[in-house]
Amino acid sequence: MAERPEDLNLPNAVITRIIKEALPDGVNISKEARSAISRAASVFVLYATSCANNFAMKGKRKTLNAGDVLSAMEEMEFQQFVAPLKESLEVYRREQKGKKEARKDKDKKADSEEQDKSQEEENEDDDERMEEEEQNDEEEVDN
Amino acid sequence: GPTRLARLPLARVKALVKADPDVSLASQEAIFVLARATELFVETIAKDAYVYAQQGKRKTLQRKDLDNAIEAIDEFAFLE
Repeated sequence: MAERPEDLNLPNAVITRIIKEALPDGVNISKEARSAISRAASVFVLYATSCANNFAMKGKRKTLNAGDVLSAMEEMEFQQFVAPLKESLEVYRREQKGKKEARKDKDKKADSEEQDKSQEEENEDDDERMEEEEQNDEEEVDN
Repeated sequence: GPTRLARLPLARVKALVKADPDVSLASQEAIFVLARATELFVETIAKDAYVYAQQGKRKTLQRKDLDNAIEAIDEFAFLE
């Protein structure tokens, strides 16, 4: 059974925490207000996705990328988000790179411990890793 | 701060992106930036709505504060 897009909720606990951290101490939020903000957030994602996808299509690309999302923010008149989003993206990229380096180092260490590893085996491992990286880089949306 | 990593689970954001029939592929980075943008959006709309609660001398944010903010602010027109 297909879910309607509006039914796709973001977790209440996370939404509530973000709201509370944005507001002064001692401020409460009614359940109805929280619910309405959560729904608005879902609509925001849907609208931003559609907007971003227009930029991807303009660029004749099939894959929606981070730049498309940033362009969407400007288009939606949320220019003030662009700078903090760029910063967050930098941190994210560094972390992802760190994860890949750690994986490579771990494999290198394993290789050096196994002195009998044949050239063919090593190539297979490289291919496997590339496949894995591709899967990590592109979230196939399958439409 | 702005460098804090997204706390909205990327899987949920991805599910929303998948709901768009025109979208075929989205990079992991795109999903991340969307998640982070949504967090910023939630912060923004909560703060903007709170202005109305303050006007009403209330310390509890209510649904009507949201409605007022959405009606008053151009950037929230897509929510109407």
